[in-house]
Amino acid sequence: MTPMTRDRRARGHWRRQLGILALLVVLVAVPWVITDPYKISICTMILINVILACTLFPLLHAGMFTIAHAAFMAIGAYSSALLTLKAGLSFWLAFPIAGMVTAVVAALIGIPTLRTKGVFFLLITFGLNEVGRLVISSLNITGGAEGLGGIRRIDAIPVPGIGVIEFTSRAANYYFVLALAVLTIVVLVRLWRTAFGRAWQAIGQSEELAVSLGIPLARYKLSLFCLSCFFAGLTGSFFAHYYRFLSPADFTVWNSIYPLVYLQVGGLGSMLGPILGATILTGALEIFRAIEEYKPMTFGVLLVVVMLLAPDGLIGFPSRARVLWKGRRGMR
Amino acid sequence: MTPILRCEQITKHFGGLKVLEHIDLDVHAGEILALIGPNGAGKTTFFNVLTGYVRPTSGRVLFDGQDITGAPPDVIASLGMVRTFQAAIMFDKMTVGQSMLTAHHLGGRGSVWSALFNRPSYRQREAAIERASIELLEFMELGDMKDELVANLPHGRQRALGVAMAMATRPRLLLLDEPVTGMNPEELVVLMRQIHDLRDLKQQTIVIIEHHMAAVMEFSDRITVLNFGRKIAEGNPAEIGTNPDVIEAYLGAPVASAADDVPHA
Amino acid sequence: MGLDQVLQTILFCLVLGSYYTLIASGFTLVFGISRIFNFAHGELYMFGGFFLYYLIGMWSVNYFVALIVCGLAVGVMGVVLERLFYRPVRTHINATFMVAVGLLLIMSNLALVLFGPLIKKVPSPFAGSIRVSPTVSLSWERVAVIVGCAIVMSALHLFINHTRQGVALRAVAQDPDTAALMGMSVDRFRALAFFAGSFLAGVAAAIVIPVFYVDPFVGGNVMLRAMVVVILGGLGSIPGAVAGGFALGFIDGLGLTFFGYPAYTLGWVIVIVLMLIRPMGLMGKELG
Repeated sequence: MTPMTRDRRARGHWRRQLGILALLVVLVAVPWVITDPYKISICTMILINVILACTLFPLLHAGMFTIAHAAFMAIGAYSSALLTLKAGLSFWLAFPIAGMVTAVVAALIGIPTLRTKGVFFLLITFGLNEVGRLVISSLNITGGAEGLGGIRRIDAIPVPGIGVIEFTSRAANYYFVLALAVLTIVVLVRLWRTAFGRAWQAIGQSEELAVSLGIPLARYKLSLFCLSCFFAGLTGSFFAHYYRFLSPADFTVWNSIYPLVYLQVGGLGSMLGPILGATILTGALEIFRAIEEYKPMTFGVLLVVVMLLAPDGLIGFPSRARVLWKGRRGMR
Repeated sequence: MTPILRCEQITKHFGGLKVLEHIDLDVHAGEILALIGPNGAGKTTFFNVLTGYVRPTSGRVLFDGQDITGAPPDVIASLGMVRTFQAAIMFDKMTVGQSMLTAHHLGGRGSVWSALFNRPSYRQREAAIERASIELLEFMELGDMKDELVANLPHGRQRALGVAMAMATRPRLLLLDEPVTGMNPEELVVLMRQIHDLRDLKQQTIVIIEHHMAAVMEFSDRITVLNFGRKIAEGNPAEIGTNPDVIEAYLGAPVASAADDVPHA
Repeated sequence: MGLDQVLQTILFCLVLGSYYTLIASGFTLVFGISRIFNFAHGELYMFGGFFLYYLIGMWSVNYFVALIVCGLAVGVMGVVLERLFYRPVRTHINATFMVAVGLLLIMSNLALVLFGPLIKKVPSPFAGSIRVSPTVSLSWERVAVIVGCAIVMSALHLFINHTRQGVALRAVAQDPDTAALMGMSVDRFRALAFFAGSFLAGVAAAIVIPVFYVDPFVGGNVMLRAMVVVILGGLGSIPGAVAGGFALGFIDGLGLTFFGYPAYTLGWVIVIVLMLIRPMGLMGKELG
């Protein structure tokens, strides 16, 4: 803690630490409390969406509004699936390799595309996602439009002192993705609070000013892009071995757009936004199964309402409500 | 002694528009050089060429003897030549304090790993950046606005912050593009004095584009005058003030000059 | 490949190109003038198709009257979208996109609720076909698409270049600041642009739907192709929409004939490369 930041953070600091600890305890306890495997699988899905939305958080703040995230998840998913299916690798090897492959592809794609701005970057990433989907559905090796099936579960792994952990249960897979989520969020939040996070924010707010202060634009944008896609790739790998079936329909532009919606609705103010947004939009709407057919419309309405009336999202709501309340009571 | 900055025949054409024509300029360590000229003379374009925002059509820029023509702005900044902007370009979602910390990026970030794991080396660097930021903010009389959002600052204070942020990079050469535009007379005097102090107290070399003639005359060591992209005069304030070409450039016609009749832009 | 097959393919490409031009022209008109990327343009087209279905199917309205009514109705929808949803966020491209996404979700699912999930076919007033060669014939309804495209684009050209409103729209597109200084209400012209662009979407639907079909989710695919056309021809350029529309018509037409479904990739690859070659980014900007 440094003098400049101490004043603002000291107040909420211990409260926040406690909150995070409580949340972790709750999350770890989920499979003990909720025994219905279906509900556990919903929690797993929530966590997948949380990771995706969180990896988009720094990208958006750095000015990279990408609609290609599902494509990078696909790269991780298919790499991992094929490495275990065709090359016979263990999941525990395929998993990190899939992440690295995704990062490398992200670098190759990022070098020419990150130079573009505004509507063009949006359109290019959109197009890339489409191309990716079309390529997946055309190649035989990826199973074409029918999809790729028969993917193994996560391989059992011997852990010294505990024994062999099997991943045949939903609970075990839930813990895996929980660990992945915690790792991703911790890394991203930590980096965001460093000088690099400041540089990324600076890039997002004014590239001109940032370079005039010596911030290397291309290198920093590329490295953030690769980092974010790395985690998307890891998530894809888990996705492949959890659902054990991949199809191009899992990686359309809508799969890239939904995490953006979670992030926007949750709020861009802090990493809590995407966590909240993904949890509520995935979980709560899943619970209210009765309105299943109205789900996309509810999404749409929520998104439009947030964009127009509450651009700070859900996490911005308390301060916005406070401002509105004060205004009504005539306080300055 | 090698000049800190040497520009050789800098020329810039935008299509058919000749914005800069064969400009030669030397800047010596420790001096304040003012770059003046009527609007449209090409002064900001010149800064853009120097700092890599725009590639010159021909000509060379030599910084400390090293050819940096066409290098990208972040590289040039890391070599020690930093500019401010004519428009109030800010990090509008940051506070004053956060902006200052960001401006110290060149000074220290270390490796990603040391940052990620919050190693002592990283923490030391951050603490040093904190101290330097507070010191600079106080120097520019912005200390008490540390937690204020940049967007809420009055225009004059934003310009001062811009100068402070450029200073944070510890530049060998500071290029100020119309730093006092839009300031009220008190702020103007304060900023000009601060710029002068930078030269005197911190041995900062400064090139300043400015229209405010009184300030230019009082604070610069040398003045270079541009008109229509060409250098039309160079010398100390007294020489420039009485130079008939300069007066004509500003007023559009030759004038029988009195030595103390300072032209206004 | 026999001459007949070549002829058949060319005709197919022409029909496809006309279709693409029609749907892209409205979209590019809106973007050119208001700089708003109406990602929900395809939904407007979809509603136009349903309006046509009900006008002709339920109320037996004359086709040409229905065509105009569709255009007007969808035009009004477009103005409503601009006024309520796009105007507050028009300055930020990302915000505009998100609002458009929301609108798209609402509109397509609203259509699902209102009209049901089944595809609807609309009978064309043009029955029969014309014999182009002994073995190649083209149905009149497809000819109508090509002719309709020609008529609509000519009318649009006349409007943009030879009417007071049209010329004013161009002025606003080229330089909104000067236009505002000259007393033109940029807001009003943006609304007019949305009306015109959405009108075109409705008319396009009326012309094209009889050949294809309409269901609540056609909007998405329409949008995908319209995006490629508009990038090919240049964002905001109407002649570009024509050139791009027919270019893609031939690329897709030939591609689909020889390679099947994966041929859609080609259009996207071309426009991605096109967008990368453009000088963009920090260095390309000319300051001072």
